[in-house]
Amino acid sequence: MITLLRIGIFFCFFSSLFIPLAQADKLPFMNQSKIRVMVAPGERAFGEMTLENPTDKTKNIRLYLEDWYYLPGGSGAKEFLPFNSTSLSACPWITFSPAEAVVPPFGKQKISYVISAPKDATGARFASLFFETLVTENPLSDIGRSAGLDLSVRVATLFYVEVKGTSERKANISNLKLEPSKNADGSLELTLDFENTGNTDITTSANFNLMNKDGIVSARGAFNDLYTFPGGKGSFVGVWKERIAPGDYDLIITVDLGKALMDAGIGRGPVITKETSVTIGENNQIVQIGQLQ
Amino acid sequence: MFKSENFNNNKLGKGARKMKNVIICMVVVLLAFCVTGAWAAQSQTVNVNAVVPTVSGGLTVTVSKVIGTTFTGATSISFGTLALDNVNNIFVPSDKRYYAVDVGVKDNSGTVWTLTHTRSSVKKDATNNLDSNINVSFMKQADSTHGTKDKYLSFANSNNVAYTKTQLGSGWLRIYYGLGNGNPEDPDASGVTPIGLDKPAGTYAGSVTITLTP
Repeated sequence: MITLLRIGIFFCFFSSLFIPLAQADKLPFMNQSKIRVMVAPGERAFGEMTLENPTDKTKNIRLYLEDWYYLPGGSGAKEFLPFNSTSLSACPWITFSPAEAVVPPFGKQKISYVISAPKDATGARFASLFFETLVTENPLSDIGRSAGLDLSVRVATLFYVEVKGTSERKANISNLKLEPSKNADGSLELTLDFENTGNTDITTSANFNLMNKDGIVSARGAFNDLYTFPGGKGSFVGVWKERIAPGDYDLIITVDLGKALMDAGIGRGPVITKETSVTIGENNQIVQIGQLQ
Repeated sequence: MFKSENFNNNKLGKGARKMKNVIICMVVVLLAFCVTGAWAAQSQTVNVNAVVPTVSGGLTVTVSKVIGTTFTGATSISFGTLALDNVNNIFVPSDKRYYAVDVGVKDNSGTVWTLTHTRSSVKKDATNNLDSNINVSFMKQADSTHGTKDKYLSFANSNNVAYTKTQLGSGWLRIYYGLGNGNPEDPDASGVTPIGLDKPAGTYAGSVTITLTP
């Protein structure tokens, strides 16, 4: 009897492990989260994406466009704004179909889009296509005081529309600082200011190399990626944690402005290279830094 | 006797020699196996590979009704018809229920995704709402039983609360919704009060939207 009870308790415990999985509600998803398109002025670009329903229930999905932009600082954080409310909105250039979709269980729905660039268009424009679905609906009660919430989820696909032949990736890189880390752990911290002076978005991939007079690399590392719209600013921060032998060095900083193009598989570069001389003393003390060139 | 012993010794000597030879052969064969095995281990290259597919933007949402510490799956966030607590003159869910919404993102594409919580007023009409009567708690969950309370806000102040992939790490976001109860041992969020008798009878409905952006 006790054994049966133990088996029962074990079975209940084992079954309970699977309850959260059974209740998790997967949601429809789009097969592309970012779409980068090159379109010539006065021309149109066509494309298609697929909305998939991985659940055993029919899902009603509403699709709509909004604006977005990168928040200051370059971390990649974004803000979403109503349709055509910013100067860089691509919303008026984009049409898509259907605007509402009923996706059967485990089914797929193709979403077609057309991007039409005006004849006088230059630079780049941006938009976000949201697809929204209701997860739970509050059953309303008319008796006494009752309260409830509808729960919806929406997922964005970001559009980056570059006007072919007119988009420019340019940037200012300045104000190099090389100093002991604020953590006081003996490491060196490199910081640089970055400003997007072009007319399109820039995602950077940057690194540094510290070379001694024999051309041997004594320190190397990567900077954080920065995400900016035209006019956007951010700061690169790189860290070197080990001791560097006292002496004279060349610091070479390489900033690839074309990471977004490479990620999209439609191009690369340009790359900016900056150099300066650095003299390092005992215990990673910075004796002198030259002009960044 | 001697002959016999000698004979026997000779006989035994032959057996022992045979046995010795057999043992030597076995050792040699064993050594050969070991050596060739070792050589094999040193010289052969076994390629091991696995392809990890890219999973992007998969959002999972689980809604649970919670009574005490018991979670049960739910298909709505409904506090039902509220009951009057005659001692404190406040309206509370008859079974003291609250709700947990677990939001997880399945993505290994390297995208810097963000989850954002937005809400629209829980209202009966243009002047009466429950936005300051609902607690919203944002938890960073490490697993189903271990979480860290990150923000504890009124429903009114829970608009545009965002979490990035970096902030949630390998865990997920859990959001609790519960009506204010005025219990000092389980305090309400700042700005939240229980639903009092001054709140007109009627149906109060609102909405919450969870946004996933790349």
